[in-house]
Amino acid sequence: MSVFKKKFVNPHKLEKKIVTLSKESKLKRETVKQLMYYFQTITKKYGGKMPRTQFRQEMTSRFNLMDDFMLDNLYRCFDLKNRGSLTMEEYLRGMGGFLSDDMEIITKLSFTVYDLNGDGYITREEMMQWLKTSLTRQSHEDDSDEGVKELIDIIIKKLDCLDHDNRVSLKDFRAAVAEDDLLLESLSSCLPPTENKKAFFLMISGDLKYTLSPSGPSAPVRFDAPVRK
Amino acid sequence: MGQALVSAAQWTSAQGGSGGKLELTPLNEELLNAILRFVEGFSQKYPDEGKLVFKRPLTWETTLSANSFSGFKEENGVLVSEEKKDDIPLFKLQTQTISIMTMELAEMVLRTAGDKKITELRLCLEANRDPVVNMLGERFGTVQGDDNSILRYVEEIRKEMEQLGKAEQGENEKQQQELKEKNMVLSVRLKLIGLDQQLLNQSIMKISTQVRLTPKMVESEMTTLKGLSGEDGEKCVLEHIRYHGESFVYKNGCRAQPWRQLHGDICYIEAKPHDGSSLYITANTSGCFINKGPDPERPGQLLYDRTDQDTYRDLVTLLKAKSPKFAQIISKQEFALHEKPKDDRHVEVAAADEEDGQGTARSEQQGHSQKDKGADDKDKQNKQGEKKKKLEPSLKWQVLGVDDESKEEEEEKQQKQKPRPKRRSSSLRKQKTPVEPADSFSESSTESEEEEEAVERRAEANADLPSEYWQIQKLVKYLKGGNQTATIIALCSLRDFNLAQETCQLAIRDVGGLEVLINLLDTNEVKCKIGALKILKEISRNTQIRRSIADLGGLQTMVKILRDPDKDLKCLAAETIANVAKFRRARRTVRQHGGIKRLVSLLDCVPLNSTNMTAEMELDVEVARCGALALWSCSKSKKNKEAMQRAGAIPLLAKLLKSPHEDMLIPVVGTLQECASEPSYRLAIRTEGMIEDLVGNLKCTSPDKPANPELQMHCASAIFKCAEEKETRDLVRQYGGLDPLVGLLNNMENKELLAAATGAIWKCAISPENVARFQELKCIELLVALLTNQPEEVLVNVVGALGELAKAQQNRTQIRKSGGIPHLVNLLTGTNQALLVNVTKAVGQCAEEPDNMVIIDKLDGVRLLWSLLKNQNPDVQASAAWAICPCIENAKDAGEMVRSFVGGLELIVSLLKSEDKEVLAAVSAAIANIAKDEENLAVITDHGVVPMLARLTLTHDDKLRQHLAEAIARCCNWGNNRTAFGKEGAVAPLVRYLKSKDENVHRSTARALFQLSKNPENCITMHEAGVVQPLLKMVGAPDADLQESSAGCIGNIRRLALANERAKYA
Repeated sequence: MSVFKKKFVNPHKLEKKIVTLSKESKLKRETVKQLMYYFQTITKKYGGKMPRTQFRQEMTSRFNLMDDFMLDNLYRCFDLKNRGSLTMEEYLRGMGGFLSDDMEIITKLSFTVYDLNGDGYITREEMMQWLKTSLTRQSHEDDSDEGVKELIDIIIKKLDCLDHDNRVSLKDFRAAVAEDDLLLESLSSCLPPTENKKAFFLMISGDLKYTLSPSGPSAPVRFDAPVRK
Repeated sequence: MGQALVSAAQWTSAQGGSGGKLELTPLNEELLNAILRFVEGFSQKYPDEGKLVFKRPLTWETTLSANSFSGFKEENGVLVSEEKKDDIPLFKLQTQTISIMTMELAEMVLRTAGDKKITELRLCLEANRDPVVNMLGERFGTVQGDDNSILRYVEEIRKEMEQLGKAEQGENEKQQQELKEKNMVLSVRLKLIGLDQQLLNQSIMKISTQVRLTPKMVESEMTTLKGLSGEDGEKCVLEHIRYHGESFVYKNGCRAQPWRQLHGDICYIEAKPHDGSSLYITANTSGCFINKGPDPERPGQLLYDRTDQDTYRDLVTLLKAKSPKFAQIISKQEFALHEKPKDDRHVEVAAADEEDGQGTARSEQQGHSQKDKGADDKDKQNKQGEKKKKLEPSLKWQVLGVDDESKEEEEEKQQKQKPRPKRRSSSLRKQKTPVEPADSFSESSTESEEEEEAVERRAEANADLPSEYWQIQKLVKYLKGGNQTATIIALCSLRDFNLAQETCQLAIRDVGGLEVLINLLDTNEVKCKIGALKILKEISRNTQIRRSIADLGGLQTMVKILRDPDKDLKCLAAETIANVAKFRRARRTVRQHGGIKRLVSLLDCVPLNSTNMTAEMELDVEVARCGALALWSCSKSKKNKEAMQRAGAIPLLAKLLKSPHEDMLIPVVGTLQECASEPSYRLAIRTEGMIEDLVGNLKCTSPDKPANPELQMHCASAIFKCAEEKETRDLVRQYGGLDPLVGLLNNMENKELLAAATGAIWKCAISPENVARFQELKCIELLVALLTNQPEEVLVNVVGALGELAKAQQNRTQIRKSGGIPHLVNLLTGTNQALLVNVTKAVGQCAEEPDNMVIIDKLDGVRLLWSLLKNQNPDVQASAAWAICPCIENAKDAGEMVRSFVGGLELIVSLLKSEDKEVLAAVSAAIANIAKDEENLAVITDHGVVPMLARLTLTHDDKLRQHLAEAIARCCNWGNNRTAFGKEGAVAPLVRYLKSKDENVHRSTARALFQLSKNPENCITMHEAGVVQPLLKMVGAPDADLQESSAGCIGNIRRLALANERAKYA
């Protein structure tokens, strides 16, 4: 609680913040609060901030997201000011989008992740970055490069479905996803798998209060989300 | 040489950028040698081009030291040349980094390197993956596909020359200079292209000598050789050749035992040449070699070790080497034999590759052998490049738990095997290239041509394949060899094809996509599973695909998925099962893997009619719908119906039946109507109150929305099946179901609906109360109108309904008035058994009315009925015989008519030999009617009707008893038939009939006994059988007819007794 108060001096202001965040992410207020506790607990030893490494570790262990390249870019979407660590607000806002069930919000999130340079378009070059490792290397060397190019042709045909300008805007992306929601993760899986998400919610809601004894962060975190087999 | 370096040279796997190294393989060695020869002779042959300065220097880490070069000056430890271009020295050596800018210098460096020149060249090429770019500029970079940089360049030069021609001479010296330089560049480029082509050709030759053996190749070679073997030492190449050991052929085409397949063995062959003893040959993937033959200690086993180091490319080569005689004969027939196996081989290499590519890890053996091949591959340092990679185990990014273990195994194997393949490869090289270089050269060149030809031919043969085929093939390739992301992209893209089209469906199967899709279902990636199921759902509409899915074990996996927490996944799996389970084996598979229980549990969802449905609840309803769809397909098997009932499907279906949505109702009602063939379901449908809902769905629910004909059809056919029971029929009427049923008769277009509706009317018309309602609804007219131009399914039910309705006198008249009789009589000529049964019934019912009978007689209907007695189907025989009864009763001059049927009476008597009780009863009834006419009675008596009837008297079937007794009664009226019946022992059994509970039996039996009792012998028999007691009771029966005959019979007996007494006293 102490960290909590230091951060937001006015409890009323805090309440307001929670309301806005919950509105933004369409998560329940309760969940936002729980996330807040959770953040405080796990970042105690880092002084209330979540460094990049911890973020990655969190994502890997809780949501089974392994791809380093993707995690870097996901982090980019969280750490908007590019300071190398997340404040509570950044974390809450980011997680709000990440955990949301709202199609529009997650569409936007994955688009932002995919849009490497943030210019509002996913270009062929960016796709190349995403897909270059997607085909198992075949002994014949330029095959896979060629393959990736073809793969890009295919995916751009699917995603760039409105203006056909050879790059994907958010509008294109949204339309494509509306057509087929599998395309949401068509460049990399950057969203939490449903099962892990459920487990995460359960963890931050129920068991949290137990585990967070006031004795400090040293209390073992027993949030054992089931990892995919 | 760019192309050759990119496509032909074999680089180590650390590719991308500068990391790649040229591998130490014979192929690369040859490439390097060729390049070396090119560079070394360059400046002598083309002095001008040799001096051409490169655009950018070729730079690499050299092994040479500065002091081995001479003629350059040294500046601060850097060795540079005098000549410079744009301030860059043409030659520069700084510590170990060397850079040069002309061909001349390149030649010089190589010369300086001496015997290390190959190393030097390799280092240079490794550092400059596309040397052409450095030498001549970016525009000549190696690209895949069409390279028209040269053409453009030539064009450019031509234009400049034109310009130059136009402009004044003096000014343009500089331009001229430029042009000259460009010409030079062009000439160098052309020479490089020449080299490039030479290199490529060379590598193709090289590669084509290293084709590995596959089971198919061995087999085709064996077949050819077998065909050419025999005793004849002149014409036949071998005495015999056969496979050694077990004759079992594994799925991958190998005959060797699985543990031997690990070593690459394909099969073992015993060949007996004309000269010398039998050769025991091992066909290995690396080639053929002689093994040590049968083990003397263990009969039937082979000693697998090779006798010598020689490995041959194929069987023919080996035999040629081992048997001079073989070589001699074969050389005579060189063309006929030698060409053929080779030719086959190439086509088959491709085919086999494809097949292996399709292979999944399903077959363990195959998997093993592939893994082994994969291990071999690595050892051989990917010599075969492209060809081989398809033989490697599927590099699927997600395999289940077994994976780690098998990887370890693989590594182990790899280590164990390491020494062998090396030796093998060295022996290969020894044997192939140096022994007869000229020969191998010529051979490989023809081979390479053949290969190209083969490829072309294939392309031609496949020319009629649609373009989708190739696109799908490519996508499936990504499915196989991509990670999760690539898989999802490929799945999404596959769905863009028209999956309802057969070409696409089969293309997916043919390129091995089904296996991959089904394998994907076994992974833990929800998204991939969803994508795969979406495709499977579509393509499983095709019957062939269904079977393939079942064969590949897809149903088991999908049944497993039914328990997945993800609801979308459950839906898709259930829908796909619904498509696949359209044939019996699939349905059985679903049941055996517990699918029915899981599907039934899907039906359990939230109350359907709640007003505010959340998205979650709607999804639940969708799951239930898909479950019902799958159950619908499954419910076509009897055992599945039972399983469903055990799993508690009925109450759940009843609940779903209340749903307001057609999508839901159709599968639910469909399932119900399938199941209604079981009496237990019919009972449950009635008791669970489902009739009301079924009737409700028959009606148009709301005026603005027309009812769904499919739904109506299923409802009607459910009622059709359920209305076998009286209670159900009453319920249908009570819920007002008869009106909509009759209403549906106006729907002339939808034949299925019509068939179901008329069927329901037929069954409902069994209850007289319903008949009354049908009369009010003027059903007869509508049904009669349906007697023409309808398919048989409809006709059967229409006629059945008419037959039931015609039981009411009014309706019979109505049928006549609406002109139905000619149509009905017409239908008697049909062949459909079910239809004939119904038609004969209907005609029989109509014949009850004398007015109708006139028409039937006029149309010769009785003759048609009579001829149906010859039908094979006892049901038809019986109902025809039944129909004949009223005809004879009501026809004018019936006796004459019957006599006019030639052989008719004999036919009907002969039917008394039938096994079928119903036929016997019907024929007896008909005979009773025929016997009314004395002449006919005489004829049938001549045909021996009496003993036949007498033989039947022992029956216990009341219906048969009734009509039999009737027939006996009638037949007594001729000659000494009464005595004959007595003699045949028909009397005593008849007496027993009186103990029956059926009053009709009593009546006809009493009549028969009365007739028989006119013979004194029979009276005695009757009396002995104790006839008096029951008859006395029957005299007091309410039925006048029975009273009369009983009394008559007793009277006859009494009279006989009196006469006896009188005789005694007289």
